[in-house]
This record gives sequence, C-alpha cells and structure tokens, in this order.
Amino acid sequence: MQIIQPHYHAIARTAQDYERMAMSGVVAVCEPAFWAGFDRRYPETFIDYFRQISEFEPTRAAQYGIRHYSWVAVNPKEAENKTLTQEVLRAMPEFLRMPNVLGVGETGLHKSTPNECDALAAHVELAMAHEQLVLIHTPHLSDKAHGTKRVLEVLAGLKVKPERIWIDHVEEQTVRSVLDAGYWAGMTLYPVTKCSPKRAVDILERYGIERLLVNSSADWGPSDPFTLQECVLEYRRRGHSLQDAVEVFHNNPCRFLGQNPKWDIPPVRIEAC
Amino acid sequence: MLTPQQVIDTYFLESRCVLLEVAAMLDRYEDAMARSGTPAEKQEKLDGMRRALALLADPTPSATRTERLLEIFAEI
Repeated sequence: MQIIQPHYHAIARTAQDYERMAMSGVVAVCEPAFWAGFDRRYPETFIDYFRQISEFEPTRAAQYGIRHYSWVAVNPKEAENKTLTQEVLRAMPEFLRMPNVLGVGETGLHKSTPNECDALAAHVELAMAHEQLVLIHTPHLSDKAHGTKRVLEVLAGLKVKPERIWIDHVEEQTVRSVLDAGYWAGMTLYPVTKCSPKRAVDILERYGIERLLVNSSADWGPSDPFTLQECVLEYRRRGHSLQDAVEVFHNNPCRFLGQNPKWDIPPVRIEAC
Repeated sequence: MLTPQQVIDTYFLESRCVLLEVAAMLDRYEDAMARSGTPAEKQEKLDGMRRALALLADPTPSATRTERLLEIFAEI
C-alpha cells in the first residue's frame, strides 16, 4: 500500500529509515523545519538548515525512490528571540520559491508566550501573503489544550484560508475544536508522549476521515517512523477497507498538500483487475 | 536504587501513556456498544479491568499491587 509520511524530520534519521520506509510503501516524506535540540543564535544557521532540508535531503531520499518535500519556519521554541525570528522571516521567501518547499512550518506555540504568539501570527501572515500552506505545531502534554486554544485565537484574528492550514499534534481533547474551525488536523504518533496508533484510529472512527492527517514525526528524540505503519495495520485489522486506508494514509495528505501546485502526487484509487 | 521522587519522575510519562491506552480501550468499548446497541455478551474481562483499576486508585500504601492485579487477571 502506498503511504505518505506528512511530517518527518529526516535529517535526524539514518538512511536505514529511508530504506525501510521505501520497503514498507512510503512514497513521499515531508520535512518541516524544527528545533535542533538547542536554541540557534544566528539567522545564517537557519538558512543553512533550510538549504539542507530543501536541497540536500531530497537527494538522500531519492536514493530510495522516496520524494522529499520540506517546510521552512522558526520553531516556536526559538521564537522568544524576536530579532532572530524577524531576520529568518525575511530570508524565508527565497526558500518558499524552491521547487520542493510546500509552505511555512512548523510554526506554532510551545509555552504560548506573547512573543511566540507574535511569531506565529507573523509566520501565518507571511504564508498567506505568498499563498503558501501552513503547518502549525501545538504544545505537548500539559500545555496542549491551552496552547491549541491560543493557536485558534491567534488564527481567528488573522485573515486566513482555514483549508490551507494544518494544525498538528491534536489529541482527543483538541481535535474537535480544530476541525470545527475548518482547519486540517494532524495526529502525530509517538511511542510515549503523543498520540498512539490505536488512539489515532479511535479518533478516525469517531470523527471520520475528512481533514485528518496521520504522521509519526520521527526526530532525534524517542520516536519511531514506523508507528505510521502500525497505525495502518490497526486501521485495517478493525475491518476498514484497503481503499479507506489509502484515503487516510495517502490520499488525505495528497488533498491537503496538493493545494500547493508543487505537490504532484495525485490521490490513488485501487481497482480490481 | 531510586529515590521516591526519582521513581515518579522516571516513570510518569510511561505510566501516563499506559493509562491513556486503558482509557482509550474503555472509550472504544463504549463507542462500539453505542454502534451495536448492546453490551458485550461476556463481560468478565471488562469487570476484571474495572476491579484492577479500583485497586490501583486505592491510595493505601501497599507494595503488592502488581501481585494482586495478577491474581485478579488469573481469575478471568
């Protein structure tokens, strides 16, 4: 079955991940800009990082037949540095013109501070001005409900197209508010700290599959890209058809990401011979 | 050996994850029951889980919770 990994931090992973993903049906990965594990001090560091994910990483993925796309942004954890954020934002339009960059992300909130909210608004405004998609990170664990509410409040104060915005890391307590506001919602599967494959399938069954994305993020922390395949298996073993699985794990990413003309992977339909 | 605080800090997230899976399983059962309109015919496993959860919620000091849960599950 063909699978799209919509949120994947490839630079933190080995080529073995690419090989195994290719062998398990992954045809494309999307790499949002994220936190390096420490706060970067210089805009040039971001610019080189953006070059890495928009120029170099696609060549690594291509060795395994996987398409690689990326997103650019200042991570919310680093948005407290207002000067740095403004300088990186000024450099971002150059990358938004790159052939495999799909939009602005992951921006969002971490501690939901005023500076973070300002940075989120600035990122979204930049994206809308350049007709880009937006990928928004929501906080983890105890900050999630409040942070997601703040994200929705910030967006409500901006002129946005909800269908072009994906709010990620939703869980049971936040998914409804995101969908009700008209945005796409992403479930990120982590071994311990975020949504689990079984809980993600529960959410798909409860809310339906429209405007829902599933990803396994996978970064330098405790994470596993194959929680996505685990979720496919859980979905299928509950009796959902192969085509329904394709709709969730391949076609929904195509529908959202395909709003950017650079994304040229169409939804697929399985036909019996 | 770990201090009491180290035990909490080391195992909180892992235990949180396990509890969320239990909560999700119970929600899943309720959803399934709502769809079918009837409860499961055989409820012994569910009853055992509820007894286990009640035992875990008891704050009385005891270092035999695991052993007692195994005894509950052995009866199912």
